[in-house]
Amino acid sequence: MLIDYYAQLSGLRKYNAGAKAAFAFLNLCIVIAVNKITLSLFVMAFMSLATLLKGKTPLKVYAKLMSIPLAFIVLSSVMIGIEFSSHPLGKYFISLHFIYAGITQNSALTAARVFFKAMAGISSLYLLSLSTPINEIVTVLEKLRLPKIFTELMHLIYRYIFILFDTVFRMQTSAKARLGFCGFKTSCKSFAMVAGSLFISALKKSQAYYDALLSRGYDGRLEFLSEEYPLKASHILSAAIYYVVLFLIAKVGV
Amino acid sequence: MTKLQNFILRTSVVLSIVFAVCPTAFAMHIMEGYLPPAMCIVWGVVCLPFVLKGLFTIKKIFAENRRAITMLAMSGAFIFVISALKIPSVTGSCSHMTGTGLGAILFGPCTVSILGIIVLIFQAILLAHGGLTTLGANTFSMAIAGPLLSYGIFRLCKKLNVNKKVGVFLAASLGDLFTYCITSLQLAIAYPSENGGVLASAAEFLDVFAPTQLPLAIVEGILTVLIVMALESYAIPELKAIGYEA
Repeated sequence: MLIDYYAQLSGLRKYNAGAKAAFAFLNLCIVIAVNKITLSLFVMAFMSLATLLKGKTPLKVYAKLMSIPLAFIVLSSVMIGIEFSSHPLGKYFISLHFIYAGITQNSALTAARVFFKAMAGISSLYLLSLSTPINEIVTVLEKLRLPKIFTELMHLIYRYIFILFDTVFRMQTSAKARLGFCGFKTSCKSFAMVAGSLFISALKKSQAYYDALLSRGYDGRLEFLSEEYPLKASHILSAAIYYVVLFLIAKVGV
Repeated sequence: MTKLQNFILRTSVVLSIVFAVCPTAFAMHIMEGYLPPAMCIVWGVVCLPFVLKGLFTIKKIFAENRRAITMLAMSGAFIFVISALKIPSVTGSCSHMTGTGLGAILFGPCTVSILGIIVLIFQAILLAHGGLTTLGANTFSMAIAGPLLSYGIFRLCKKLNVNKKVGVFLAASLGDLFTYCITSLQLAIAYPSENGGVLASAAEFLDVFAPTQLPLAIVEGILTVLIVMALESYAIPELKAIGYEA
């Protein structure tokens, strides 16, 4: 889990988690509501620089992470850009014998907007996820008065994910050592066997963990500790300046 | 030109584009920032009754059996881990299961709606699949619509006394396909085609994701059958404990 690892090391880690979440989320909302290329580009540049320079996430890692959603974005933006029809359409089109695939000015603009909007959205999300470990985000959700069951489950699932990943990697390694992944058919079988035994060991572990909870006096309420970092006036001020700039760009951009 | 010719042509064009651009296949998460604000809110509101129902169901389970808390948390973590594993694939690309079909068969659709929304949040934050503003849309397609259909088919096949393997296969793969149809529809409603509206646009999105999603649905079906069979031969008591009826 690349993102979690770098979130723990981030230079932005010691900023107030609630403020980071609010900042990233408000930013996301503005990006999708305004939907202008200049604004999206600005947000993308700002968020990437903040993550890279302030958060000290290595450039290589950041580039790799940015490329994850790229395939989906490129593919669906192309689909939005291209219009199929039975007659020639727009400025540029190619005849595919039966139908015409064309790009109209409108469809191209929409596609470009969607593309940059999505990239800006992802860079804002990374600012949050590459600087804030999940347990701090869940604590923020707790403060927003989400149902207790929900946040308790989130805390526990976050812990258990790492335990199960550890188990599943060991199982897969031992399956590989026995040539369990040669050929498609064997791979399917090994995958299912690993998944099946993972489920069984997960349930066994859950019973042991419940006993561990009971022995520590569990009575239906789980309390999780998480570090709190104070909200500084300078942070609020810089966020305010950022939003003013954002507002000005939104006014003039295309 | 006949409809069939049209379909073949489109599919082939799209196939070539897909293999040129995209070497990896993704589960159908709508990416962060992709939907306009109105759509984000609408899909969130559509999810609300299902999520509330799930929440009440889980509350009831906890009231009856406190032990369920670690069990449900483990189940959620299990769905997450399964969906993050690379699955064997024919083309050599890297793809993932959705895992929600399996979840629906094992835990029932109400529980899965809650576990699914948590898993989707974690996928967005930890793996950068999906996003926070698109959470509503993704929850509806992956944690509600897909599992509901999977569960429905699974129960129906049981009632009709269809072979269990066939039932599980149909449930998982059709659930997966349904998820992908819903996602395409969501994208199409958000970005309708200029000359043809939502339906034409939906056909485009269906086409473009079909080459990765169709094989994926079949593989997911096969894997789910194998997993359920493995579980039934080793873990009947555990399965009964979580409410699965063999």
